[in-house]
Amino acid sequence: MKARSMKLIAVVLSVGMLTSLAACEGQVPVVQPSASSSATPDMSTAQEKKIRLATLKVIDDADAAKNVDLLPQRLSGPELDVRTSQLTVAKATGGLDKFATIPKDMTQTVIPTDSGWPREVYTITTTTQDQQSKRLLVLRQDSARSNYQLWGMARLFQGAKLPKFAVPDIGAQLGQADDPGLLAKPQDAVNRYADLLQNGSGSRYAGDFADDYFRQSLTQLTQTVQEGMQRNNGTQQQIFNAAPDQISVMRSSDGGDLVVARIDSEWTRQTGQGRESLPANDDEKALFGAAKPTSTLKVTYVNVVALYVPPAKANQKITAVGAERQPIKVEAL
Amino acid sequence: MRGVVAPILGLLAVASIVLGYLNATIWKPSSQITAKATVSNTRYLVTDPGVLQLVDSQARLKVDAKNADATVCAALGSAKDVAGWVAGNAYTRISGLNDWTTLATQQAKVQGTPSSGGNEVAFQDSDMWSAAHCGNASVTLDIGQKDANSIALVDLGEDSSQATVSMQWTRQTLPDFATPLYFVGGLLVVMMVLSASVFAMPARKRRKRMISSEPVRSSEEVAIGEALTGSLRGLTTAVRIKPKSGGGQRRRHAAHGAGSQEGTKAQDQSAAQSAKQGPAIIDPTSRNMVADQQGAASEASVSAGGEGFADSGEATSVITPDELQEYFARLSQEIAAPDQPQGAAGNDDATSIELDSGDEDVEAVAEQVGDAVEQPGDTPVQPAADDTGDADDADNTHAHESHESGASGKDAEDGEDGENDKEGERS
Repeated sequence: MKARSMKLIAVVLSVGMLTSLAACEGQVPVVQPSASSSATPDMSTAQEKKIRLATLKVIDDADAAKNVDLLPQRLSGPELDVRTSQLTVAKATGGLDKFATIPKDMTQTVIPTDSGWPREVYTITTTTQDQQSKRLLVLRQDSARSNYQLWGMARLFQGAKLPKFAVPDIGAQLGQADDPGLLAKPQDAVNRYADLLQNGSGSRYAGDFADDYFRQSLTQLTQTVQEGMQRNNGTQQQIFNAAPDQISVMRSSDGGDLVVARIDSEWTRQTGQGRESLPANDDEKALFGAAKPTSTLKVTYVNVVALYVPPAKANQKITAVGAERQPIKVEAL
Repeated sequence: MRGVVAPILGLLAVASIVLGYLNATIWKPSSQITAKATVSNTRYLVTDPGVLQLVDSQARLKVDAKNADATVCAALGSAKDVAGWVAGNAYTRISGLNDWTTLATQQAKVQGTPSSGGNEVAFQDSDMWSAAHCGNASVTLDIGQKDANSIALVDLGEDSSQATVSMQWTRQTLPDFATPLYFVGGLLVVMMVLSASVFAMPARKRRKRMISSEPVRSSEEVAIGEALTGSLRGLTTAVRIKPKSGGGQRRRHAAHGAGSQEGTKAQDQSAAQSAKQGPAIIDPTSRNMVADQQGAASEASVSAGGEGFADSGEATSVITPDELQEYFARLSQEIAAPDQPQGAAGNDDATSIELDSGDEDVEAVAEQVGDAVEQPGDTPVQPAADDTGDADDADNTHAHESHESGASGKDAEDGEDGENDKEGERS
């Protein structure tokens, strides 16, 4: 009896093994929640390249067709105004300004991990073929259902030292216009820089900023124009205003912010003694076109400046690392 | 151990190996896994993070809309991009596998307001997707290694009614059920062999030590080959279902116990007998053996008695043939008795003496008898035990052989009979 029960147990065990280990595909897998989903970069470098090339293709197409209507597909913000002006000038002069060139290859890209919109990606291109300085491109996506557009472009100054950013695989972080802990809030820094551009060394913020190429050249130009106007008993005045909400901020690894912002400026030149005030350069001439000149000429410029705002404790000055300046409208008053 | 556990382990081992083989061949898991789900009244389908890579990193997503005119688009993107795209819309989540052929779906809605920028682009034109395809009524999307962090978003169009979504994975690495089973089978084989040999021995050893304090003789241990043979025999008897027969090994076990018990009994009996019939034993022997061994004075009468015994059995008036027979029966009992408590080996000593001990044993018997003559009051059991113990030492190999061949109590008796005959012939 005992032997029979033992045999029965053996048989049951064998049958149990047989049924449990018979043909099966294994356990149905279960989705494991990902721990790092919240901090992934907004895009891969491959996607960045795709977007950059798509953007530059639209610009090339517009350049080739001399058609500014194509630009809004991939351009927005100050760059749309700048490029539209450049294309208008190119149409009038027959050739695009050499400073309008944007290299297709990049040397660095900064991709944030932020999940909301608008989103931005910074890309630094290579130097141009004629050894112009690198371009800083700001690509912005306003909403989930819109595409990235080239919002701003600044030509980096020769030898300008940019802060370090997190590598694209890890992802950087977008800043805000009112980021605390910095030498100045980004928007304030832009406002002060506008004041500095307008007032030169007489600005009360002059001590906050390191000297830069853009300011030097603008001061030089202003002085030259001033001298000419004075010979004709004329006057000239430049007003710089930081455009509201036209700012882009990317946090660097050292806690500072790289700020790209639009500063609008109006340059009003008035001649004396009944003379006409004429456009000063080819761009202005092209934009002025065949309009009838008067004694007063107002030129509206779009300035895009890239400022590095260091952390408050860094014992550094706010430094302009790149800029772009383009007249967009010339009118006789 | 050898009779029950080893066969069970053997059966399990065979079952494991057979199952392993089956799992490696006809039951081998399929490399193609296809799971489907039917959705309705939804525009967007979104896979949960990880669903695309649930079975393998290589996958194919296929969506078939019931409406043949509908433009169906599918794209791969990051979870936050997809969430941004469907913000404010209801959608159907594909959350995993219900089983190997069915996708699990859930209705959900993303918080937030629908994107309302003036620069909206078509679904397939969005920068956010790493891959996007559109098709009429059907679209297929291949998912590869590089899409590890991607999820899929399907846009069935505004007037979508019903669609079937299917995921097909090609498993690069199939679950291997065969190797573990082979391994378990191997382990079971090893355990079976061990349980049939090594684990089956200590009990016997312990029993032996309890009875005699002699050092354990290594040559008495069961050789592996013998043990295996025994266990295989046990296996065959276990497989052959014969509830009544009791099995060979059972009888053998019984023989152990019975043999030892009988041996003890026999020893007691012989002691009692020798105590009771002591004088009767000594008287005929003393005369006869002394006559054999000693001087010429009694030589004639002894030889006459021997011849008489050989010829007619009536030559001596002192010892009758029956008495002599009785004596040898007792003698052989006395020789055999001390070994019997040691189990079957003791039983077989009789056989071994018969086969190999030769003249020395006979002389030993003669000396023993002589001692008995000199000291008639002593019990003859004690010296007999020592002598046969020596004989056991000399011939223990044979003893084991006969034990393993299933020597039973009957065999032992036969051996005794044989010895009796031999002793009778010699004397």
